[in-house]
Amino acid sequence: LELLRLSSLKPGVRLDRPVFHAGGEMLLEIGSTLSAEAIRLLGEAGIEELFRPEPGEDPGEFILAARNEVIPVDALKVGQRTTRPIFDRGGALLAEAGAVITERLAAGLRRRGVERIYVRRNTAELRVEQVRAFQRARRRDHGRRPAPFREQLDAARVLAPEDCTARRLDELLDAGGEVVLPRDGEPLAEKLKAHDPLSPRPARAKDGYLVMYEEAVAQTAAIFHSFETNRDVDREKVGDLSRGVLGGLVEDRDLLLNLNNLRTEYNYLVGHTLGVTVLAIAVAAARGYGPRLVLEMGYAAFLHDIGMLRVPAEIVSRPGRLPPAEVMQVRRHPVYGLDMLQKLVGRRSGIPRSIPIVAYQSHERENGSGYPKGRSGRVIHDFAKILAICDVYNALTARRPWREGLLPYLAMEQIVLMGARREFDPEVIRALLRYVSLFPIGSWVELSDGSRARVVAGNESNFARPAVSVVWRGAQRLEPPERVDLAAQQDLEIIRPAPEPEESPEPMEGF
Amino acid sequence: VVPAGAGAPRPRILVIDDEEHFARLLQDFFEHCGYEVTVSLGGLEGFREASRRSFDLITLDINMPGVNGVESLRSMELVGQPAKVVVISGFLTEEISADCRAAGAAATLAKPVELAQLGAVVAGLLGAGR
Repeated sequence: LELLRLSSLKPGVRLDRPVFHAGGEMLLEIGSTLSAEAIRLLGEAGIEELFRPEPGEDPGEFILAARNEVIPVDALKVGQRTTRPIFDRGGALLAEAGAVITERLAAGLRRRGVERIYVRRNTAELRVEQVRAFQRARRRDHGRRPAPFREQLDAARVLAPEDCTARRLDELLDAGGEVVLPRDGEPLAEKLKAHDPLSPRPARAKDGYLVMYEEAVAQTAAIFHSFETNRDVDREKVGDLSRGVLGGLVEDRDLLLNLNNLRTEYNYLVGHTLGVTVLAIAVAAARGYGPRLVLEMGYAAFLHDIGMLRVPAEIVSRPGRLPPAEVMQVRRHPVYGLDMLQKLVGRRSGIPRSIPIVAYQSHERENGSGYPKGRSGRVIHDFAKILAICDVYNALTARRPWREGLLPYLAMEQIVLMGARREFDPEVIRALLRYVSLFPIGSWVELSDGSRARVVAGNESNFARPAVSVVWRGAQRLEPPERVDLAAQQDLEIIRPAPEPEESPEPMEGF
Repeated sequence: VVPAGAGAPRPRILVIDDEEHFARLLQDFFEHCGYEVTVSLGGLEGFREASRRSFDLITLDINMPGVNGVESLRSMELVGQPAKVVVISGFLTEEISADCRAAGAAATLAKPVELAQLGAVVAGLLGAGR
């Protein structure tokens, strides 16, 4: 890792590697040009030392090491009491804070081949406030940041002659072929653990999900980075991430879905990809698929927008309506994605064969109004239908440099209206509503008694009557929040969606 | 038209119509019949009202700017809104009627509507639901 001093930075330099804060947060994206403004803002935030990976070095490793104290398993002493929770590489909780290291735990770690464990540093150690100050200042003067990770892609590559190119697929469909998906095994939905919406969760459960999210951000960034440099995807990493999200869904569906409200400041593509993956995996489970296909959905969600890396950065990051020629360029990204993914599938059997086709079709619409082929319902892969919806939902709720994100409810309402206009498959929308609810999990609402509450659990039989945690009753803040299941309280109704309170709540408040 | 019996909760009706004059006429009529009435002056507002509060019956106009009646009805169906829906429209083609029924409409009536007929249809639907 290379140390850069702020005083040595010169404006105008194009960054060929991302630049990180000592605490592992990305500060400057690859492909961006270092501006005098950014240097000034770094100075104001008190960030004097910056780090960047050596050429070819995996930034994911650095992020993990920066954010956690890394301890060899051999250094763990049986009988020792932990002061903080410990995690494995993938962010899975191994032992809670205050737990005693048992022989069983140590043996289990060795058996699983875990060599190192990770103890999360606290925010003071990481000097997170420096990064936040920088990010806030940067947002204020956003300008046009080019999207990351796209500089080194070779736009001149040709389509791979795999056994199912875009053309071959289209020929099959034109000849009356249909996209049919087998159901596999027992539906994953039946394996999800039920959580009583009226009982609070232990803090460690909630913290575990937040840690999982942060690690997933780092891993996602690392995957894109290595794709950019090696034109290859570490399928094990993608598999681990998808399995991690799937595990999170099984363990506590609502905590997982609430992660979709966390929007990493990392960069748009990383946050968007992760959010879409969380949502798509949940919808696939709600659609009734078994674990193997839900995992496949995760793979597809993860890689579906990879074709965007080939669209020129200045087009992707340009706010507002694009001229027709540029719209055409953006609309080619599913074709690029198909090409890029087919090469991977050809080389690596670990990536499911459906992934390129799903990415290729993920911008089609039920009524034929999508792109690139204008296919309609019957000939669109179900995963592509799921992705189309999750993609739009996440794009609408995302904050972009040139606009605020929509409230989650308003985005969901758009999805429902698009369903009414037959742009989306109503059955897939119902699957989304079953888990996320019409007033999405983690969003804020105003109730008919004037209180402000947070949606904490869906209601599969009435999407508009979820379980909520009342946090504010008039000017009074309830501590702890009062949990109400609106399914059982017919005299209380949601009047309207509410913005997130200004007081900037904890991400897991109310859960 | 039989008013709701004393003591029993009054049936709740939502009127969705962008012509305010007509909506108020329906409101007066239904209130006279003993129902509790809420008015929404558009397809989107109607969908929001219908999905958040519970109603026993909804009357729905089709030709409305923005979100039209068919879209509003399909949105209600999508979120599983349980009230019975009576479509009242001045431009009821075969196709629109079929779309509405496919989306769960219990009855379709052409404008101008005779209040006595509307009252009978509504009372019949509410009675059937009990």
